[in-house]
Amino acid sequence: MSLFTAMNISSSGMTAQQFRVDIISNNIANANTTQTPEGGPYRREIPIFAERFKSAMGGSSPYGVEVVKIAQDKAPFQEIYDPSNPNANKNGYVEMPNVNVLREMVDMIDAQRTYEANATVISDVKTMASAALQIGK
Amino acid sequence: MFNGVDLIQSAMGVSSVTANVIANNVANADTPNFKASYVIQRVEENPKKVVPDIVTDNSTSISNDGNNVDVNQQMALLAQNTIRYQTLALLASMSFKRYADVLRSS
Repeated sequence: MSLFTAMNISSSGMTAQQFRVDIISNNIANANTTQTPEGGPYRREIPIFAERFKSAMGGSSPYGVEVVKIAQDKAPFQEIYDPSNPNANKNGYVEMPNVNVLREMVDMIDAQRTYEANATVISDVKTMASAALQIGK
Repeated sequence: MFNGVDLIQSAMGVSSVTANVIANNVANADTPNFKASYVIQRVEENPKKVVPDIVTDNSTSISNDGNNVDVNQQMALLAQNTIRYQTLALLASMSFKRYADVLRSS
């Protein structure tokens, strides 16, 4: 049924925003991580969204959103002067992650609002479906 | 016999396509280079019905990543669409009630 399509589309939006918040919290948690298995400090991660399509009856129709990959922020690391740090280079500078906590917080609010918008769509579509069920009563 | 109801039914179909399009716009509110789509209602004769046309607005951008979904506008459209659908459902219900009344009175 067509109205269930709208619910599936919105739930994919909610899943994507939920995933975005997971990535943001990982960025904030690692805002001071100076050592990673790959070497060097932590790089900020960004989820990349793309429109999802469902193929049916020879054509394809829009079917929500999906996360296609997690990209890494190419911005340079911040260097702070801290000669006592074991990770400091010979000039006494330590490379810190390129995570800006302020920007992560703004992104988190954006994700939260978009999540709410998707939830509103589901709730409105539910109202529509129950209105259709009342026909003939 | 159910001519009026058929017309209402096609309008409810348009409304449900509109809900899908709005859901897809909102789900892709953060997708780079995504362009919002809108539903335009068109009338067809013999039998009289309304059909949805989906158009994509490729001309504008409201953010740096080329996306043009205005979530506030989509929420307003959604609220309108829901009320519209409920009204149509009520109309359909009343049409059937009319037939039931006639059948009972004979």
